[in-house]
Amino acid sequence: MINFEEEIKKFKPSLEIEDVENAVYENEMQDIMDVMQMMAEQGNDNESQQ
Amino acid sequence: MNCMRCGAPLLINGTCSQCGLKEAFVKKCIRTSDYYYNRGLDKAQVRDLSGAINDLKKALHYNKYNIQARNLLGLCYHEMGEMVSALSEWIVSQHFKPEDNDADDYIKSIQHNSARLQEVNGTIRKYNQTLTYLRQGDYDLALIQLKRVLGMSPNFVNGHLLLALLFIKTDNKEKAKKALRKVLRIDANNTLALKYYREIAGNPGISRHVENGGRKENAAETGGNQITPRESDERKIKHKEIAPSNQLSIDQYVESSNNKYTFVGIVVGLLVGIAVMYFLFIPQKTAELANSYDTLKQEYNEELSSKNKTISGLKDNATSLEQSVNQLTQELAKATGESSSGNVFENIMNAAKSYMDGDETKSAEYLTRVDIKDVDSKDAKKLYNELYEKVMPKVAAQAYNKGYSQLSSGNYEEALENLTLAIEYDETNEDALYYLGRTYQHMMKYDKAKETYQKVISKFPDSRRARQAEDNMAMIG
Repeated sequence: MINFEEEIKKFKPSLEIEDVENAVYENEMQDIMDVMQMMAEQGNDNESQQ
Repeated sequence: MNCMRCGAPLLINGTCSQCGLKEAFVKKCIRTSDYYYNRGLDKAQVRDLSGAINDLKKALHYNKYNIQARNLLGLCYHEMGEMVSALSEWIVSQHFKPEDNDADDYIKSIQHNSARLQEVNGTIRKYNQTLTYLRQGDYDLALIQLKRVLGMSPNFVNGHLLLALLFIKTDNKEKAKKALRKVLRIDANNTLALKYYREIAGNPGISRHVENGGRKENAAETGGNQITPRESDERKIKHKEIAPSNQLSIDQYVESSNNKYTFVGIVVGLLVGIAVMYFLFIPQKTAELANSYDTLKQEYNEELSSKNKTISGLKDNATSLEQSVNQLTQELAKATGESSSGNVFENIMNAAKSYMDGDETKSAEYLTRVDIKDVDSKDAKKLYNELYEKVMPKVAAQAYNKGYSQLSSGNYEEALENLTLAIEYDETNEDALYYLGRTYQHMMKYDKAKETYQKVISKFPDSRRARQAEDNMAMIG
């Protein structure tokens, strides 16, 4: 059975055209390779510290 | 060898000198990204937009520089009416690859159509307003607003879903189904739409058979699972070909029936309005106008007749005044001795003066100007008569003699002048009148000659000149 109130909560307000800039900044810009690169850099830093 | 990700040279152990990633790992990520892109592309082609969006997002998780995947993701959002998300993806895509990028065209096509942009913004605002109404429990307002939203943006999936939910809430299952069918036409595997449909239809499989019209919505999954990352590179050619048609596909969809009903409603409303105007308002207005016209006409006629009366009265006054003026003028002329030829007394005085100066011709000229009937003064009459008796016969004889001799010498013009004067000074001179006729005859003015002869015959019927005049007239013919 559909619970109307619960279903309504799933619908979020749409972003307006003026909010495109925010949407671009909030866009997930990291991919796996970025993560791996970051991890590699952290590993190198740790080694150099030791 | 250079790194496939950042383009920096690779070290001997296969690691990038710049980003530090191993070449094999980078290749694996790129191929996996391409694999998900191809899956997304396949799903988009069979209108499984939700599935395509999921796969394309995964493709971007593996390689954020996958421009094709990002552009296609934007197209999928655009197709579902999520304009801001679409623009967001295309802007990022343009940032990563500023040149030779389809996203550039997509953005321009929206940015250059300001009317469309405003309409989209209006749609979004109305949709957000609808959500507010729903949360406040104003279902009627929400329904009206939602219909407007879908009239402006027929492909807006979330709008259709919300409409379906609203219909389910108001227990209008048929309309809810209709709304869900529209969602499934746009996004064949929309999870929420399928869920709602199952709830109201009670048959989990019904949506696929009814809505897709034999479309194999699972083809992407069955085929996609068999594609290896290596094969995906070779298949990565389709998106560019279908992208423009996807972009234009908004126009391919028929407007929702809500629009049709709205249009029909407007037309019917207009017709009813025109009919009411025609049968009720216009006859009443016409009668009012006719009444006011009659009243005005009557007033105008009354005014016209009163003006006419005034005018005729004024004309009568003017006539009587004119008569009075004429009468007074005549009386004044008599009193002062004025006539058409000037002052009577003055002429008589001038005639007397000329006579005393010995110029009898001039004196006669002044005397001819006087109309003695107009003169009341006895002294003036007496003076006039004395002068006339002394001057006129003498001057008339002089003029006659002169004219006769001029006629004899063939000088007709001067003869005509003097003979005319002789008759003017002495009307009883039958010879002067006869020779005037002869002068006309010599001048070959036969009509004037006949006229003059006729005067001789009528004035002096038993005279010798009368007989001669008759002979001459007979001679002229």
